[in-house]
Amino acid sequence: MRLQYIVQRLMWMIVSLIGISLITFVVSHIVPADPIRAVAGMEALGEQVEVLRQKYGLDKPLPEQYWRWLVNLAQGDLGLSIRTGQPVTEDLGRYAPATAELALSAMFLVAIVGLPLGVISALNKDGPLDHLSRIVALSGVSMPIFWVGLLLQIVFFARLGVLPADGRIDIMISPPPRVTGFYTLDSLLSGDMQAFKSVVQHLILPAANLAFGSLAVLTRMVRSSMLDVLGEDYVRTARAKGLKERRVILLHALRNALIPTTTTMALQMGALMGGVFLVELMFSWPGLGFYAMRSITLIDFPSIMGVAILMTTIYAIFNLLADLLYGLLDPRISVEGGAE
Amino acid sequence: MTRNKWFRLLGLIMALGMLAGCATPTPEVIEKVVTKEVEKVVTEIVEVEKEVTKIVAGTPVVEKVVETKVVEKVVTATPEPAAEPTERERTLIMSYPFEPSQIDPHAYFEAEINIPYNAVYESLFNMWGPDGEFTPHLAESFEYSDDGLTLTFKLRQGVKFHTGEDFNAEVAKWNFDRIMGMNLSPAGNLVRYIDSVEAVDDYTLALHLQNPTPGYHKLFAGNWAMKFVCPAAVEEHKTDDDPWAHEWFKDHMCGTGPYQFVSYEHGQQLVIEKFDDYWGAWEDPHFDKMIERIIPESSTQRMLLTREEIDLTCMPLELEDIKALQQEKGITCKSDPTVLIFIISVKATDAGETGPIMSNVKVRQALAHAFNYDAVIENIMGIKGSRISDMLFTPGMEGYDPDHFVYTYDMEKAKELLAEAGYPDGGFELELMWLEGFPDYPRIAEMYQADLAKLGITLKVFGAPPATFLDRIADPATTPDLVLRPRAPATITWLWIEGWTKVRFPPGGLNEGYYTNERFEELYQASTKEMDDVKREEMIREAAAIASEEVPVIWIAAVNDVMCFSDSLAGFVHSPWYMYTYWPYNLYRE
Repeated sequence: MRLQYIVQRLMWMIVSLIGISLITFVVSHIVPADPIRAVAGMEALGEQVEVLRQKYGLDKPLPEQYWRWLVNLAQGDLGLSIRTGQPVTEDLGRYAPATAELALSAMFLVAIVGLPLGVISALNKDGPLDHLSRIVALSGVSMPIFWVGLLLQIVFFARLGVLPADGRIDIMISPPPRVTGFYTLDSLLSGDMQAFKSVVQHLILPAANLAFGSLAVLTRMVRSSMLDVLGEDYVRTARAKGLKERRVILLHALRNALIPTTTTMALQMGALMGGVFLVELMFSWPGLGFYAMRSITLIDFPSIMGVAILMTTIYAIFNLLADLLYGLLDPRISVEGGAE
Repeated sequence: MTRNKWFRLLGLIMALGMLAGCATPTPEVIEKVVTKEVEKVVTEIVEVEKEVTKIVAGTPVVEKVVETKVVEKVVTATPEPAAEPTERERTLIMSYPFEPSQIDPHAYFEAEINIPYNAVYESLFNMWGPDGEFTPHLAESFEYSDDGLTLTFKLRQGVKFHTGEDFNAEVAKWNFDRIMGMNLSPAGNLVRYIDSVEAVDDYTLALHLQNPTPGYHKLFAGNWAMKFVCPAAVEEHKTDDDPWAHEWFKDHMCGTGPYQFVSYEHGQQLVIEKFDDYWGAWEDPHFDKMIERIIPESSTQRMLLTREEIDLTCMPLELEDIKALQQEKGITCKSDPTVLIFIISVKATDAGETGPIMSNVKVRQALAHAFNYDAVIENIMGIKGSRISDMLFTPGMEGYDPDHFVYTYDMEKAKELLAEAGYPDGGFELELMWLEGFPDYPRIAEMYQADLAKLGITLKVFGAPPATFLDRIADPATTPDLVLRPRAPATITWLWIEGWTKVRFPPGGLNEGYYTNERFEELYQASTKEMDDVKREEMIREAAAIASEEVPVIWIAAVNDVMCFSDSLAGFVHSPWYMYTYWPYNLYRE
């Protein structure tokens, strides 16, 4: 049944992707622009521009262009980037690992800080820690992400000099040989501890910047769920049975409090992917955001659509995982919908 | 709050503080002052034996006595050899805000890589030096045939590519074949004028021209001059579908320059290192390695320069960051003139809704008088700009007259001209489009908007990325009334004024105001064939005078290169003909 459910969701995901691709195609082509001429050079001769236009298939009618793109997509081909001239899949493969590394690091920070902070806040309701987490939450949702990034750079780099301001690795250290594209993993795989240390140092500020907003949301969500759960009868029963408080909190309360939190975390992944674009610019992080900004500036249709499809796919997968996790956390919930 | 809770809060704050303190600091550049003793006084106890005469029982007796003395000696220390510069000291780290789309010099030239470009690749001639003098480089001399149809270059001997092969006439000819075979943007100025290329002998290259083309040799110098790539690298990386190895050259480099390519991490950095067999030799101090870092944010570049993590910012930062850096010790921000200019192209065609208004020369002259040139430079551009005269030439070009000012900021004059044109109170709406990518443009546009409002003219302003910009100007009916953008001049003056002829109507050119004048066209055509320098200059001056009268363009400012750098750098050679770069070969650290 679960397998059937997964297959069904994947089918609907494909439908969503087609919808997203159509919207992106229409929007990017509505903008009056001539990306071919921009790439050919402002004073390129007409014939040179036409040669390039044919190469990228932009001399065909729009419906035919979209159909060809869909057919190629089914074969895993996202076309050629007008800006770089490289296959978009190759470009995405080059830039995506940096974004994935940053986003996963941020999610990790959100989880290891947000969950305990939310639990502690709930247990110390209206206490000093609860007030502190409220301040953090308010700051996280109200301060613009680029402003937080700038503050982090000024405090930790310019003033204190304890963390680097930008980049993925120290300029005088060679990047590790590429295996996964994740500098942390690749440096461990090659045994280069100097590179690993530098990579981790470079990850701290951008990951913290990216995590800040989501951390705030998650903390409040966990707090709220915990407060609901702590008032339930089964928690009172568990305490009455004489179970250790830690067991009551972690095994009985938190597990149930995580159910609504899981959805929040999946949705926050979407917010993270949105924020990653700005963070990458602030911290000179060579990821998808960096790539996408240049592509958008030059109205590079294939790249824009490639990034949109990739982001949508990631978001859809995380949502699916969240739904599946629901069922794991609470066996009463059937993935087909509703409690059994 | 109870006391316990206060203690817990205090404990949490202390724990957070300790955690932050435990973070391993990133290596910091620390300046150490070491005092070396060259001479010092040393105290020594010595025993000296001497003879002493004593009187013993009335008889002189000589005795040997050992005397202990404390002696001070001056000792000179052996001078220590100077410490070897560290790898960081031998490396130049520079920043650019954008990543180039690709780095094949025969495809599309991008300014985001100027220092590495000019370090790895070379052209036949150079225009380095503050006055942009035309000097030999890979070619030692040139000569035109009597009929002007053949341009012959004598090539320098002893030049090697980074792959080890010699640079000679055959290889130079092959490079021409590559550019014209790929037929991308840089081919334009070759295919239009060259009939064929001939390797006359090992070091003599002849270009057979379609027509006598005066000054054509100047195309082979400057920022956009043709560069020479390694044929061996092309041979190694070509494929059936890509016979010119364009795919490989998109993110690799191979030329004859003093530095050779090491690596390119997309979105991060490009690394080049010294080429030991460079024909220019390595007698003077030079850098061993250069790293170009891609750092989009101006504020980040400023922070990194302050903390010595980079040595040089290559494209102008935001004015606020430049001003802040000028206050920092150990950092200099230097402004050097370039031939790049900011202009407003003025629509001069009667096509489109505002055509009847804009085709009136009095209206265009009024618009030129309504622009506040000095305020723009003083308040918006700062040291990034300087006033430019309103001829059809730019600083550094032949014939430029720095005192030729016809259009000054004069609102009374502007009102008068509008009244003569039949619009005493304005009463119409115009559009101004700026090319995105230049942070000063929105403010310049808004300032102009405010001034035109005083004349009763409503100015709608907006920015456009390159792709949209080119789409809008493609049709005279849709081209905006005013277009704010940079303009980079050609090294040949008649090629520069071609920019305002029908030949350069979009697409295929940037005469986006669609300006044309019969006499101007005649003078342009004649100047492209006139081999006599004096006569040609007269024609061009007459054309310039017509353009000045008819205002197809408002000349805003000459753009200065403003590069900020650590005071430890030296060897700066700048030329107005090379943007966002110093001559890399000359740079070194003191």
